Amino acid sequence: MNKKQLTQSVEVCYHCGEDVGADGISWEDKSFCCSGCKMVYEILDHAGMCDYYTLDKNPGNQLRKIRNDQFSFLEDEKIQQRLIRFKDESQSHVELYLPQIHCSSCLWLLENLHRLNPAVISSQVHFERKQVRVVFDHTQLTLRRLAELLTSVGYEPYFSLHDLQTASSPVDRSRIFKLGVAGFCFSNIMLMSFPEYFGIDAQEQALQQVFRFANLLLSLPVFFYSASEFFLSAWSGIRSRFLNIDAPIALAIVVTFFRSVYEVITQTGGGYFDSMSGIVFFMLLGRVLQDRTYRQLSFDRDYTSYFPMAVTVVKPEGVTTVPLPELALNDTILIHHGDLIPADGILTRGKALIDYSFVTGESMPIEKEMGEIIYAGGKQLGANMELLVIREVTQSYLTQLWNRQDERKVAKEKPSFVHALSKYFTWIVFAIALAAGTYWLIQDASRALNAITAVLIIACPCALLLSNTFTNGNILRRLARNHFYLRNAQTLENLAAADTILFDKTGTLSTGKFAEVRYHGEPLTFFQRRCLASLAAQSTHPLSKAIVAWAAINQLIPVRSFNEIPGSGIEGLVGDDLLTLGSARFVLGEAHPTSTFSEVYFSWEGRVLGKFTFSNEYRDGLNGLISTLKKRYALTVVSGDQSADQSLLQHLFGREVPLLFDQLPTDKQEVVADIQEKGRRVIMVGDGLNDAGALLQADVGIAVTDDSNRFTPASDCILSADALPMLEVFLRVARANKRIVLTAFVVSIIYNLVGLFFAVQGTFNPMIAAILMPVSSMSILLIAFGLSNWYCNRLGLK
Amino acid sequence: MKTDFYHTSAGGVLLVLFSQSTGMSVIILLLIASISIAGLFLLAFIWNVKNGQYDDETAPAIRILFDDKKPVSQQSQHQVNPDNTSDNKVTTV
Repeated sequence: MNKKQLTQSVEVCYHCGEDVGADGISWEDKSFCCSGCKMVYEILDHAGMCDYYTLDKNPGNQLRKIRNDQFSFLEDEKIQQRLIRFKDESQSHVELYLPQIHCSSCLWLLENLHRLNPAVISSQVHFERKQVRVVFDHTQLTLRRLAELLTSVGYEPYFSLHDLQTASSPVDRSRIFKLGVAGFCFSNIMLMSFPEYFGIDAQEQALQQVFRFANLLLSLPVFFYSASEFFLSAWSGIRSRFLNIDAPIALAIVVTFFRSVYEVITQTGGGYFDSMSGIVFFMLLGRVLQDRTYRQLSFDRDYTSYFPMAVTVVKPEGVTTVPLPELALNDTILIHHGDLIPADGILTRGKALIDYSFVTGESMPIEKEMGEIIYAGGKQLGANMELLVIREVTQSYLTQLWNRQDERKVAKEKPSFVHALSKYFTWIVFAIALAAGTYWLIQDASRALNAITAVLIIACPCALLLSNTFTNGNILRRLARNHFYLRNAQTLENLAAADTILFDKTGTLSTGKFAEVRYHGEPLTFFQRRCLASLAAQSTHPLSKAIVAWAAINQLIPVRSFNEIPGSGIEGLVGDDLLTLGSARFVLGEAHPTSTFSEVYFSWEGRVLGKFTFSNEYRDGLNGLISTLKKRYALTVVSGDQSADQSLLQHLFGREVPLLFDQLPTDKQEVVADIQEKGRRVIMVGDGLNDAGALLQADVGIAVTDDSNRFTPASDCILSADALPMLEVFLRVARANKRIVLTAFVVSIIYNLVGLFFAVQGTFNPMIAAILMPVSSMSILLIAFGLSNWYCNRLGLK
Repeated sequence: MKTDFYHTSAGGVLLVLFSQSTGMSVIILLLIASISIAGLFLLAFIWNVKNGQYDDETAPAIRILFDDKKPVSQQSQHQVNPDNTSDNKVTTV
């Protein structure tokens, strides 16, 4: 590396914050990393919108090069109909997904779009969903132009087949409403129960009755509306012959309600409406906190989220854009550089260099010749090519891979330990109620009913439910803050129960890039390196790109002529010298066997100077993670890749860890199933579609991603790649979860015992209930939040 | 007399007069008043949730800090209409 570059690389791009590097552009007094960033700056500068840069530092996104006709499919009537939410004579409303939204500057720029183009009437950002809702005048601005406008300032809208096929479902807010109603009724009932607690003048007895009836009225919405989900859940549990935790709770609610109604109507007492509505309120609150979903994440993606919305079809009369679902057999589709192949087809024109890393985990691209079948799911790295579609989109190899997974989904649900515990609890409560009842039937029959109902009210396992939901909710929240997102609370338990961890390699342990290039051979002069880089720059092969990056040359020499032989290498005239770069067979001659791709030889005028070896770039912090995980878990690596990095990985993981290479997606799934058959609980950590089967088969599937908004296969957890070294800590938190739930539960049982002491004697009164219920709920809340926060802090979680 | 307390404020006087004319206890009137007010808040809450006001918890907090500066109007090829007449149309939909 030369000195000049080292000093320059300290500077960052004014627009996007990337290192400016050697080929940075200086303009006015600012430096930019590329012409794209400079262009965005110019656009914003012209429009007087440089506020964008003052709100947040280097807020911009690097501009991706797009084709002129990238968004031409947006002119299709049918596609427009699906995308446009509302349309009248003068305006259209559309919601666009912009994965680049990340800071306040983004928000500001996107909400000031009208200043860039007056045809935009208004725009509003939904930050968490990374969406912008744009109202625009469609007589002056087409949807396509709008997409291009957004792209020109660095926010390229993301369209997928998924948007085309499914309408977004409205958010279910019924639980929030239930919570609101319960809170309202609870607080008012509490207020009106004061005469009940402190007594009331004898002359105002009529007033007391009014209060009691008001309480009765206020408890009706709680009982019939807010508590309905406990009844429904209990009922569905009983119908499938399973006593879940909601069953005893529903029973307690029903018993409390009817006993209270009875007392009010017969004017024998005030009932326990306050306790009943309070407990419903707290339980709903716990569930709302626990099930707070991360709407911006999707745990159930299918292939449609990855596929494009439309493809370019070559017809005799010309090239048209067709929505993907309308793609028919025997159509010829044009695939551009960087496009995803949406359907299986035969290559009819051009050269294919396909990156299947997402489907198979193999990081080396595959070259295909004309006439060969190309399967859907790969990404074209070469130039434009044409494919004859031989299978429809829904029939392709990739789609089949997804569809097979759906069958396995159902069997995975396991009841929580809380349900098992509540079952014992329920039987004990029944026994106590029965004992108290029989005792009082013999002693004083008038108090028997009183005692039985009081026991059922007091001993409902709400404490268990409360401690469970609040602890789960808080721990899920803490984990999410550290970029580890769980699908639901049950996943926490599954994580805690696991004893085996499987890792995928490409994309999970490694970044999928070739960062480490090593050169072995005669030292190269600066001129030789320059020529080498100039030649390698002609090829789009990732290894060539890695060599270009390794050479670190600013000014390339024009290549006079070059020839790339797919699967072998590249040769060309740089200046006056003939350079050859490629596989051993290509450079050294026929005698040498074709080795794996990971070695590239280099010759200069027929003389071999040396070779390059490549290794994957591994994520930071792996060493520490693996050594701590090994103490508790059995580890295995399953990779779809060749065994190129075997020695490095073996060194990293240690001798006893099995490393499996060349695993097809189905093989990985089988590996997981085999381990499970031995009675082990498996966590699968993977990233791509090639792991999708294994992720679903495993007890817990963790999808690792560099960008949590895109490209994760269906899984139970989504883990941001930068948080991977923390995995061991996350697992510890998951294990602590159960202990915290139980601690809170045991403490709350003490309150229950005090209540039971009164209940079995038949002397349980509203005053005691009114003290016990909030005190026990509050202490559970404090224990659940306090302990889980304390534990997370101790482990250094954010 | 218990009602003396309520005579100390104008609203209280009205309440007492109303309760005496209808024969209702003042406490009951207060009860109705307080529950109706609480009920209004409940309705407001439901309305807010339905409106999606709690959907995005990040954007409103940032948005409120932006200045409503008039843009510096400059001629450029990127602007079809340089007068920026649509400036005050930043409305929520």
